[in-house]
Amino acid sequence: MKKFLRTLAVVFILAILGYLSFGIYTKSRKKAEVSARISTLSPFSFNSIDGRKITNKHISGKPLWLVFFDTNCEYCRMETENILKAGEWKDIQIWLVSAEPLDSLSAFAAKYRLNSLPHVQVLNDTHHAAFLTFNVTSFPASFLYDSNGTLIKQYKGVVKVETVLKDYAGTML
Amino acid sequence: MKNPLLWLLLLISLTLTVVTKNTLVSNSLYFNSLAEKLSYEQIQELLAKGKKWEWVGYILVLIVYIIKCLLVALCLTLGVFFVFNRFEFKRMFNIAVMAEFVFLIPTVFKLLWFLFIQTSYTLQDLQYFHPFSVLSIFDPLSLEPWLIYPLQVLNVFEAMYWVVLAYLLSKELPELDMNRSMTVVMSGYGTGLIIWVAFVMFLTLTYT
Repeated sequence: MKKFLRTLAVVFILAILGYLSFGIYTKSRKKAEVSARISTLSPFSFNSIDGRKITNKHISGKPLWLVFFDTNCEYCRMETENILKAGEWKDIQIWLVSAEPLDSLSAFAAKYRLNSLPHVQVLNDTHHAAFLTFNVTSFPASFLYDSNGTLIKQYKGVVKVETVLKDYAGTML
Repeated sequence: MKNPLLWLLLLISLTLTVVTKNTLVSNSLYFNSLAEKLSYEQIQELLAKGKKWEWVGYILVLIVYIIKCLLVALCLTLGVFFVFNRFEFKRMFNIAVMAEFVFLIPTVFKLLWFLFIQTSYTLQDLQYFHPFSVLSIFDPLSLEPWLIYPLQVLNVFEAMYWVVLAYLLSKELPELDMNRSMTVVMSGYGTGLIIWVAFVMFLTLTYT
């Protein structure tokens, strides 16, 4: 009986360790793949809240700050307030992207008067690029790309607009 | 809960948490550390919320200590079971509680370090300060987040903890000499620790 329990315990421990080791290996590989993939802006397709299809072609040759968010997340609302406080930027375009339904996004854009800011667009992540391409695990998560589509920096959580501008200015030196 | 040592452990750990929070973690530290992420008003709002729920954090500290002692006792019980074919959970729990006092040393060390030696620090400095650990050789910010915990676990106090566990086990069960006692600790607690570290690495990789 004791021998049986001991064997069972060893098998159980090996099974758990095997599962975790395999998980760690595959997830670390996936992380490396995502890092390589997002180092340049991948092809994407979002929908604007007025129904237009937005792709890579719509980037106007300016740096892009791509912010993935959720309207129910408190930190995302803080991020939006930061963007509003910073006023209008001439140098960088901001795309606020969420997979939520269009009516929620429209209400959010109206509430924060985002439509009045020409450099800000609220977009619908119809193909779940946040998860599938950028491997976003929590909101807000954002990615700053230069005008050539090369990643300058990625941010987890809230970040102040001044910090983003400083990081962008750092690449211009 | 009649174990007076457990109460003493909980009292000291709670006191250390309260003292650390009130002496090392000031509002200005939050303002300086979060200035790149949040505005002044947003930090104020977060601090007000944090203050409101501060008591939950203190209760969690106590719960974590109790759960940790229970899990260590469970690992030791299984180790002893495979050697002697008997369950000794209560005695193993007492050993786990006594040995846990070892981990109060780095907490006191950290408190004294930031109070008297490195008096200028950030929230990140506090978060990644693990004296006499392998992590202290590296710059934590240059490491992948999932590597931080295993490097933090490899430290002098962890080694001391293993020796103290083995010593207390050999005292509690005189049939075990120090060598056999260390074997029980390695096979019981050691296996549990490896599974725990792998689990934390797995979670960190999944959610960061």
